[in-house]
Amino acid sequence: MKDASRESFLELQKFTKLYASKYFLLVMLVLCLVVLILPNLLRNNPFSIGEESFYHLRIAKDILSDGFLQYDELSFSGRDTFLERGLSYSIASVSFITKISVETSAKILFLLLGLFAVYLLHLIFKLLNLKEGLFALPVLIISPAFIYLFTVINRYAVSFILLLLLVYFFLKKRYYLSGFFLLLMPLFSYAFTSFILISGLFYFLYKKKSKLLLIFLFLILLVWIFTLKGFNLEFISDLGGDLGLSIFGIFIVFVGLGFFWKKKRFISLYLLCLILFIFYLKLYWMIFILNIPFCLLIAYSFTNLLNIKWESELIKELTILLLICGLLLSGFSFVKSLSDAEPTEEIFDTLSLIPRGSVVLSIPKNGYWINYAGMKNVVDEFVWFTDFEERNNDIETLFWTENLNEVVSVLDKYNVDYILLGSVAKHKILAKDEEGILFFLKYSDKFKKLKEGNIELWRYVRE
Amino acid sequence: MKEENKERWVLFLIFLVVLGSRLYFVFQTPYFNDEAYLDYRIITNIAETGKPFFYDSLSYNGRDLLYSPVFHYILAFFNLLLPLNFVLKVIPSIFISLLVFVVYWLSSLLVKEKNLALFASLLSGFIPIIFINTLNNISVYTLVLPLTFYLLYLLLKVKGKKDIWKFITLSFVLALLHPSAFFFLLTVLFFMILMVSEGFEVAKIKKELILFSVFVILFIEFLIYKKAFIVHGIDIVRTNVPTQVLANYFDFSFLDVVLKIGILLIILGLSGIIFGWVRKREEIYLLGSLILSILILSGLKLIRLEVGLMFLGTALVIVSCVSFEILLKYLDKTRLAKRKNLVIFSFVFILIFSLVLPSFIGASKNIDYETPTNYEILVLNWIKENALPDITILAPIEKGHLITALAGKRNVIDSNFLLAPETSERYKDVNTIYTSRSEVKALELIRKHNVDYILIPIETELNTGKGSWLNDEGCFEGVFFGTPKVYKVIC
Repeated sequence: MKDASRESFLELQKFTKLYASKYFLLVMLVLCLVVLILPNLLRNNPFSIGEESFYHLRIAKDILSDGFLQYDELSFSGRDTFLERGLSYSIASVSFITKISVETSAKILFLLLGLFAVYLLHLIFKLLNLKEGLFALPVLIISPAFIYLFTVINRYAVSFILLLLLVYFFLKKRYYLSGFFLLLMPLFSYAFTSFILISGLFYFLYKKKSKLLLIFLFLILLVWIFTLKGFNLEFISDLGGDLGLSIFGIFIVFVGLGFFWKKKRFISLYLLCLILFIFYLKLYWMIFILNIPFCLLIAYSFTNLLNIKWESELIKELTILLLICGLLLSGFSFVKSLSDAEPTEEIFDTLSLIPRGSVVLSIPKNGYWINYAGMKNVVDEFVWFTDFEERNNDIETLFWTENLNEVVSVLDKYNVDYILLGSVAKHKILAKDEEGILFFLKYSDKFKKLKEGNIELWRYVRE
Repeated sequence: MKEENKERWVLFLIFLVVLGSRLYFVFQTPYFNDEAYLDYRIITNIAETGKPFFYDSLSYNGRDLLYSPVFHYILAFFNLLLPLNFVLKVIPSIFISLLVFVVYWLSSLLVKEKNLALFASLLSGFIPIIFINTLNNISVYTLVLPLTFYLLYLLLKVKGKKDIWKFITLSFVLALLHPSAFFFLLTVLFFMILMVSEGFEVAKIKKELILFSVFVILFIEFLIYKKAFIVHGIDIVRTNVPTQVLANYFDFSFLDVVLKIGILLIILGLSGIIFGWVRKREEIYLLGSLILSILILSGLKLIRLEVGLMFLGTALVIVSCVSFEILLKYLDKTRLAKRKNLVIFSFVFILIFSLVLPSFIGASKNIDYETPTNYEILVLNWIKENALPDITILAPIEKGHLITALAGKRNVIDSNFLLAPETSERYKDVNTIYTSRSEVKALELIRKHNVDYILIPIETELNTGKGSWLNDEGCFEGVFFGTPKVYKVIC
């Protein structure tokens, strides 16, 4: 028994040395570089990944050509509101300085942000004296949420970096600098900033030991969160979730719970994960924050599995090997699915058949791509628009109606020139036996088919 | 020592009886069940080329296949020594008959009386649902079922390094064989939860084995079925089954369970669990966890009834030993003690009768109705020889694999739904063609799926009748008029 604990101690000491060495950070940065480059490297089309990325790229291009923007002519066929423009300005600045295309600038910017995030996390773990950071960092780098955050162009990447800076300087007790990064945050994401402010308030109440008020406010927040629309139930990336946790990670964390359930320190970390997970069910971007304590828990469980005395060394070694392979499998299968993610080349080939400035009707998911190609959409995923509900209902009507006049009136109402049907939209209609617009597209002379295949394009012929 | 040898001989005799009974039915026909023909094609391909295929150009007019070919390789290996048809009929029968040994070993852990363990092993050979469902259909469950229970046995009795090695190797093999390894995973997880909640200490080595098996199963299943998990998500458990089929697929009634397992076995099994639970026996907790996981999965309609019942039936046979033992002890204290042998004999006779008879009737029906007839084979061979190579034959879902394996032609739909394209839509279209009275509608769907020949088996004709539009000689040319009927689309 004594020998075993000595062995464990020596093993731990070896790891601590490795963690302290400068090569550890270098290895982590190289790993991060490889993991973040892979999705774009494996991708067989030159387009960025995702939908919202194309919004930021388009706005960045507009900023470069027009300077300050006050009106968006393409989203919802014209609106004066924008998503947070901080990211678009950042991309435009990089492009302006480097003189390379907006698309490449965005990719480089996100890669650098990813590397910087790893560096900051390393510093924070060291400041907090977390020896488990040795495992937490690589686990975090190959986690689906981290890969998504710094591969797909999104609003939350810079906010995440600002959060890390805020935490780092707060831990260093340089509160003004920490506050400065908090002030920058709304430029990139209002929601993220609100969450940080609310967390700050809770932290303050916790320090002031106002437990009752803390619980009361938390319950109000919870109730409010659950009034929001939608649920992210696909929270496991290995089960097809767009943005979720690794199933192996979840199992390791549960195994850890078996070891730690009597240790207060770990229970608070589990509790934090649970609270963030509940929020994540309603706010998908919460996964980026949840990912840090989650990876820490994986690291703690992992270290514990390494350190405890096993009855069979063979099972120990095989189990540890399986855990590592499992986490790698989750990460790399996510990399693969990101590289295969939409948009495909076909959608932009189809959009190239349409004259710029035309109004294209499609489902909200295709909205940003339509705008990026230079056409106006009827709806997109930036839903904070005065008559969004009305527009959405009108489009839903098109999918199910059996009345051609109803179809015509909706198309005329939004001055639609073209109709774009991708596989998702077609599936939505086919589920109801070729009802709705698909029936009229097929049999009415008001529509002319311009392209068929996975993505179909129809021209609406006005009388 | 002499006693032990005697037991071994009796056990071997039971094995031979079970195997003999199965082989008797299996060799009633030279063919296999309709469902078996996909596996037949894969094994034939491995035997000929050394490789399985993962793109099937015939099924669904061409689709990706996702499966673990380990079972197929095992059978193809035996084909190196023996003829293929013989291998496919005999080897799976031997695999499933091995269950009698596993049940004997597990029962021996539960009861001291070896005769009871032998009796349980005999019963396990004739559980109707297992006997019928694994008969003549090259089923992977013939290997999965004994392996799962053997792993449970190893987990209960693990002692030295030899057991650890066996457990590691076999849990790896089980995970590689089939996704139903998840039953094992759920069972050991429930077992841990039950043991902890009841405040019992689980031996450290068992905890380690459980941890290892959980991760090995998760890892291998995600590695093999990664694509399906990403495409179907958690719905993978429903394996992309058409929505119209889904209602019957996962549905079950108590009567079904009674008929497929046997009422006496259910009563004795459940009382065995209660007795074992009261006595706080680890073995009962483990088998109870298996039953619990099956019941939960079936209740949530996440597994097919037949599959769940096969595991449930075996577990009930094993735990029923506890009831037998108590019953025998109780018998000694009653007036019937004088006629103990007669009572035991009657009881054993009723129990065996209640299992063997349904098994044999079911097996006989299985051979009669679920294997292709000589005429069907003749028709399919004719199509294979005389039709153009690249044609599509419309057939009901149950006959899909026959079309691809025996006629070597494309089908519109078959029962392998995982990763298959638009299963619900195709199912509806095929049904519409068979039931439609409108030639226009039928022709529209026939063109949609590029159908060249229409096969009308007798079952379909009895259910839906023959569409009068098939009499339009300008469009459909009758090729065969027996059972099944075959029409060629000529317009």
